[in-house]
Amino acid sequence: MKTLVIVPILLLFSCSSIFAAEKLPNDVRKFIAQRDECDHFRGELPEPEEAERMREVTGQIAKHCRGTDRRLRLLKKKYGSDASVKKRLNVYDEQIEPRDNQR
Amino acid sequence: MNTVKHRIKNVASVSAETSGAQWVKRFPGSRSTADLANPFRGRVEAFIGAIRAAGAIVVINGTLRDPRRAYLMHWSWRIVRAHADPQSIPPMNGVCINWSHSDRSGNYSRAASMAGASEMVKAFGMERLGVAPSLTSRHIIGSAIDMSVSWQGNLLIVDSHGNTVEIKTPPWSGMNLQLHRVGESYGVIKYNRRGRDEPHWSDNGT
Repeated sequence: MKTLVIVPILLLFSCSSIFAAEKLPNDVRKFIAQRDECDHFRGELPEPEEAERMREVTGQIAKHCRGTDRRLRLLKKKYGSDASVKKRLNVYDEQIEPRDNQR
Repeated sequence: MNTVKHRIKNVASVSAETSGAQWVKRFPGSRSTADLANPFRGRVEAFIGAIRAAGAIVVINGTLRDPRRAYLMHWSWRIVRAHADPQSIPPMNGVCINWSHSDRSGNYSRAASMAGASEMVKAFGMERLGVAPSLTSRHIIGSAIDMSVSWQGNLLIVDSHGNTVEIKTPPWSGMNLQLHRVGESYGVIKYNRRGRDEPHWSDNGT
């Protein structure tokens, strides 16, 4: 009987991170999807002589990264009192764009 | 306290080599599957073996990347494009670089420091890059491979369970969805975020 009660409780806790992810506000989830994509391509820069791959990667970076510093800053401000959102956003580098692009 | 700091700084600057284009070729990436981390290495080799046994062509463009290369790319870009202070760049084990150059009198020279970093940005091919290169990636931990795959006509390929899969539909490349399922059976996952990264496969699809 005890097992019957404990197992579902343990299952609930083991899935808590999934629930937490689902609870994130839409604008935060959209930002995370875009910034994860951006961060992937920031780690894909090839050797300088691989010109075609360099073009591909820089094209993807331009598409996914532009403006994300500003959006990160605004989201941190908007959800400053929400610990779970704050924790999720804190994993991202606050400045990946040139300073002159920041507004 | 400041004096001690200065002394340490001066010792560092004497023993370390200043930044410049000569650093760019020092930590090249690998194209060998032997440099991948286990168990991903074994999975990739089995998958590539199956692709080649089926008659397709595989060209490997990149496997393991050196974190020291990422460090050099990241901080040279940050000095030039994001106004990072060359005197305050965090050090990295195994990279004895001095980002802070001195003039003839031995005083710090911002212009010379910027010039050294600029040479590196240019030599890395990052002049038009709009963001700082990342310090981390699946390649850096040996869990990703960039490869192009191509074939003509139908492809009969054996998955990791020993089943023969016939791929009859295009594209005849690494972007084929049936080939992705075969890759998954080996534990080699095609890049599966929203964007398109044609040559990229990894242990988790990122």
